Amino acid sequence: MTGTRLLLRTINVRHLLGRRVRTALTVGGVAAGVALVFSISVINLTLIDSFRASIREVAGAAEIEVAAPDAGGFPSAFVERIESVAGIDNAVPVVRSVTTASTDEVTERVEVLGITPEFTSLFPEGGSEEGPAVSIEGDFGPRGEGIILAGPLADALGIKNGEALRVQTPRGERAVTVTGVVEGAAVDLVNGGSAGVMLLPAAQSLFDKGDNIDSIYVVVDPTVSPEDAGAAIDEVLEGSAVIGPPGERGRGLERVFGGLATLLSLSGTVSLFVSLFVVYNTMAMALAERRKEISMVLALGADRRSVFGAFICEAALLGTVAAVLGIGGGYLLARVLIERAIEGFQVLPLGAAGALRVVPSQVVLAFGSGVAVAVAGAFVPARRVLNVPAIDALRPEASYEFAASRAPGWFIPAGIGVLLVSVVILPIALTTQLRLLATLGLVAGLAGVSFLLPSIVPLVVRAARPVLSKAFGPVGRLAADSLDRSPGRTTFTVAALVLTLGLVLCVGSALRSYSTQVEDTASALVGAPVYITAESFSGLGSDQPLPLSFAEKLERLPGVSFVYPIRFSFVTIDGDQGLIYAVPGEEALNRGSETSIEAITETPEEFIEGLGRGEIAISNLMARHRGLAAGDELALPTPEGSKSFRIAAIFNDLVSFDSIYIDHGVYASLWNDDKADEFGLLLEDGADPREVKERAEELIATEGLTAVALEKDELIGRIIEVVEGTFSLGQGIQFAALVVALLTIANTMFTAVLERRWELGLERAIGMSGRQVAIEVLLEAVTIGVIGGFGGALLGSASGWVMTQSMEAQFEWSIAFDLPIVLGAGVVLLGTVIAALAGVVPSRLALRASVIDSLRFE
Amino acid sequence: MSVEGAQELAAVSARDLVKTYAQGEEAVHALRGVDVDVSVGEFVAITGPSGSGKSTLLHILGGLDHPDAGEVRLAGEAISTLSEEQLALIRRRRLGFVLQFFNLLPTLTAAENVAFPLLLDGLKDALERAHASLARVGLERRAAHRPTQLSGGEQQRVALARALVTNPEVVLADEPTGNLDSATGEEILELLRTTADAGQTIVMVTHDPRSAKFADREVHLVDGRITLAGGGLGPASMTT
Repeated sequence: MTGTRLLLRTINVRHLLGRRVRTALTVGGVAAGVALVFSISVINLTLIDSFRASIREVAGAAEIEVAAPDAGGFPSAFVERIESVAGIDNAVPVVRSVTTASTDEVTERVEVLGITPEFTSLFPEGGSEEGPAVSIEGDFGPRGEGIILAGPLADALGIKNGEALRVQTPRGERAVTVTGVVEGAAVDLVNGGSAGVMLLPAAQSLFDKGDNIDSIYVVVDPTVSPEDAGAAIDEVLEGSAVIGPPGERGRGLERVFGGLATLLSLSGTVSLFVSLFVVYNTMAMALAERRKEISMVLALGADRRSVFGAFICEAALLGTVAAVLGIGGGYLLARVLIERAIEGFQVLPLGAAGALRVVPSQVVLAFGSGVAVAVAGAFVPARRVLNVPAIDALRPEASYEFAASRAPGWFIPAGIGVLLVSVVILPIALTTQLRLLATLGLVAGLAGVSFLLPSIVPLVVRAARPVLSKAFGPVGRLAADSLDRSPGRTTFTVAALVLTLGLVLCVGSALRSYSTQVEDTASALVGAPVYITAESFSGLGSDQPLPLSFAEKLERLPGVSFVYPIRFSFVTIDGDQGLIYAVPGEEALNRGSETSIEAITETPEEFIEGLGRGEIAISNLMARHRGLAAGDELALPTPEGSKSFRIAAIFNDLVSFDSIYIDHGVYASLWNDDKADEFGLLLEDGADPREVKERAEELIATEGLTAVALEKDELIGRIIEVVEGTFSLGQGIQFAALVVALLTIANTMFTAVLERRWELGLERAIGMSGRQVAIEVLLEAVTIGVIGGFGGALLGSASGWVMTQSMEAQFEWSIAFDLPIVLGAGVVLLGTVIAALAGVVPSRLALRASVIDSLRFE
Repeated sequence: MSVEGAQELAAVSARDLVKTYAQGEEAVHALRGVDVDVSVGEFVAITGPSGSGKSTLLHILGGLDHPDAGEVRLAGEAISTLSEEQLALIRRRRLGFVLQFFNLLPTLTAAENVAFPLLLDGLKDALERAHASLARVGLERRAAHRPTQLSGGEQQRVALARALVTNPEVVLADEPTGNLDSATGEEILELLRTTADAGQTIVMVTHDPRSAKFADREVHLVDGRITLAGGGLGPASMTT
């Protein structure tokens, strides 16, 4: 250990400090990997915590939340029914609405709570374990119509008491006067502090809720258990509400979010794995560069284990610095990406996330990952120390002895074996949403590919040699030779690129296949030539839907023959998230809608006729999930109690949770919902859709509604935008992964230039120009890029197909895998460009290097 | 003969060469005003102790390094002021190099190594000429071997074959026997001598007096100055 410490201090650390560019590239590569993993982890935790806090903190001391199973809410009369239950101390009603609030300069997504004066009783004075303190400055104004804003929101909007705020509502934008500011830990946690409070009647009126409310917070007598009280309430309400501890209603959404978060985490894991190659290259280079020094310390009596230990410690040191920087960088990255994440994960109804959440275990895991990756990357090169002969101290540094280690024969069966393990683990992990298992499965997959590449890449490089020679003459030949003589370095660099580009193409091709399917399905289902949608429509519903009564006005527009409403409503069914699509299917079809039900079901007639009879259709995923088939009955919670529906048909859907089609008329009457997210406009013969759209826009403006008119193709385009927006964060992560790959190649090319300094000097001495040497280095980089690009295209296409199959299996989707030819070509080009970029600086280094210095051995 | 006239007749000549390096905080005066003319067909040995500036002189004569002051002419053409690209072409077509260690590109065969300068010019008969050049140094049978498969002496002979393949105006050799045993070193020196006898101009740096005896003339450097001009088999003239 003493020897290791001595060597580390006197040799290894000094080399690290002496080779600043290489050290910086290495630390940068690992830090980028750690930053990605850490930022994704922080974003996931922050979103889920914010969501939970939004639901739970607002409940204060309440032990039970009675929540409406859908967005329509339930009658406020439920409060009295609950208060009639024995053992209930207090029942506090709340209206909840997510909307946008604007000043002239700023717009924020806000959660507005409508409360009664009893609400403050949930937060005992001065705070307690049950609920943090809430302090309110101001009131709700003389007419009780003002809004009290959470402190962070008031600050963000830069608004003061007495000033007006524009709030989006189902009836259009409305001005609401700010009459106070509320502070407190609980307030800061509701929707990340982006919240406002109004009196219940004012909120009901503003958001067009009628007499409905969304939740009732229940304080239970200490002598009664919350479970017993909950059961008693359920009995009274006859199954028409979701009853449980505050937050229970969010479980279904959390599960849906969990699946997306798992996929995102896996993207980060790939980056971290790729950064392992950066360390490998650096340590391999360090070994080559210090070979003479190592042999000298061996000749002077140092034992090999100490030298090996010093190398490992050097890597651990690099990993430690990288991990610290990565954690810091990851935190900053999370701050930048959190808003985008909120937009992407529309499944969580969050307007803002507030402060980022970091727990010690995340920091420890990220730190450990950074150090572990660095040590793992250094292990193989460091082991070569054990074979350095002491006699090398007496030889000149440059030599003809290449480190041309070929892949051991057992790599191929090992690679295939580990890949198979991955193929078995990953689907299980994705289905069960066990993130650790998914990470293990992915690492196994990456390791499997990494085992196979050392056998494949040298063969490809050798095949490329005649091509390069023919195309670029001796310069091309030397570039190919350089790649061939360092198979380890070349393979690891190509592997970094293959894995990164493979990830990009895998996600890209799966998304493209999914998007194409969504587009095809949407094209089939979108049957009206013109649509009116709420401005806040996100593809799965709207923060502020439109009043159903608007249909009548739309129908009076010249050229319009029929208007039908569409409503998307999230509903909690036995604790799981479900989505209701309420459409007047039969009526719309009879009136000329070109909707093609055949696109989603094998039994279109049963589907349409069943909906017409008040039955429902359920998705394949829901049928599997609940063991249901056509002809079975399914109970759904309604404000009038649980109601049983016959299943008329099964359909294919493209969402990752349960979904149900129901006739809009049946839905509207049972759920007492007078809103619509969209209106389909069927036109009279010969009417011009563009003109009708313009008339609709004028009507929307006249009515002051926050809605948009879209032609059929525009609506389909908007749906695709929403789908792609969901994955935009993942694309950001992929971009960061490409940066890691770029660092890896740059590192390799620096290594290649430094390692062959003498050789490049000789080439120039015997007549190659500096430009030719620079081209040689650039050609090496570009060759790596092209091979990595093709490898990435192959791996990405294959894994994209597997991912599509896995998504089909997991969610019962029916997706035709779209072979990503253009995207694949793009990936090859991307690999080439990245490699060329990474090769620019090293090639300039080669260009500028002094020939004399290169030929000098001392 | 005037100084200008000697320069124009010489295969390679240098006037008032000055070169100073920084080593740490100290300035090392590698060359302090060196004049040298090497006639066509002459074999000149530049000798001197370590640090005397002999390798620096060779590097500047070969266009590998620039002097701080002074001028180098190759067959009467000033090369000190040429660009890096122009110098690369001169090294490729008009000069040949033989170095002390690891003269060859490790991934190329002996024939490819020899052909390399011709290949850079895209000459179709490059390999043919390389085989002929290898034959001149007696290594035609080792043409397909890589450097690792050749002995030290064979490697130096391949390097000489490469230096000769373009029929250069001057061959510059930097300690060509420094890494060889004495018998093999002697073989190389004899080969250089034979080449010079055939009319090839050679400038060789060596610290070994026995090697210098193979040359027509010896130029001795000490502390960056020429202190001795011996031999005199050729028509060169030297001044200090």
